[in-house]
Amino acid sequence: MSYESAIAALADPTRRQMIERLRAGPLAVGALAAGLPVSRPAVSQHLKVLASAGLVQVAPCGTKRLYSLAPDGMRELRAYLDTLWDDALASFARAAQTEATVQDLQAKEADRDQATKPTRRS
Amino acid sequence: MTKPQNQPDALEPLRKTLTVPLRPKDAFHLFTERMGEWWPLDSHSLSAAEGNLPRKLSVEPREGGQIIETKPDGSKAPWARITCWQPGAKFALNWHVGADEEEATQVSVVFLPVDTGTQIELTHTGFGAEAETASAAQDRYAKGWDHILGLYLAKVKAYALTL
Repeated sequence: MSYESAIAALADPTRRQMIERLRAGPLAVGALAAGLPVSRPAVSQHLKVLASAGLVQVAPCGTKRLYSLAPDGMRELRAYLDTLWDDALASFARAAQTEATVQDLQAKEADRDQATKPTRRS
Repeated sequence: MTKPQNQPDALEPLRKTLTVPLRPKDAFHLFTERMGEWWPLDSHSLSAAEGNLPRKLSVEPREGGQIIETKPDGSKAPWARITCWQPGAKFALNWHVGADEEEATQVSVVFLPVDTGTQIELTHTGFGAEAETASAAQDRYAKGWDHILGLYLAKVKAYALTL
């Protein structure tokens, strides 16, 4: 699942730093590597990992290759929330069923008490 | 490799519907004020992302109130701000788990009486499909990333704990 591979890709602090830089806009590898405490080949390697995890995309721009955040960030968020609500609502449905059973039992008990009252009185 | 910039199908509101055998008043009460009794906290909470169980989940039952997770160390992490509170009928939230409040997406839950009980309609919006301008879309897109990064970082911390 790409959510898991994205987590693994982001476990590395350098890759997280690169993602943070790309949030400002697309960058070529040189600009992206500037100031990072790793070699440029290492940056290229990190970009490969981020791209295969679906976090970063690359587009040619003249002779350069521009890296940017993949718009799937939103898609991932939505997919995550979809699972979240499925799980939460399934859990709510179970709780509601239990609650309905409890209410049902209480109602039956009340009926029985009602039915036995005249007998007690007499 | 390059993907289209706009993928509106993925950004449309998320909708969920279910029917429960309770009256709207009771379904609403169970869903909101008793949320801590049924929410899957072991899998879906900030504490769970850190490998723990929350101490509790509380809901302040009023407009402007918050849904708050209390972590094992007693620290409080708000999940959402209640923006609409109509007991037995509807409530709405600014949902911002793992992110700042201004980065919220919007959740509304409507309770409708039906023959068999209550039909519940949950809608989660704010993913960008309704974004009016390019800058608003960019803004929402950035917020989505903040949210996702927050979730990832929490997960990464959880992974680190297991190493």
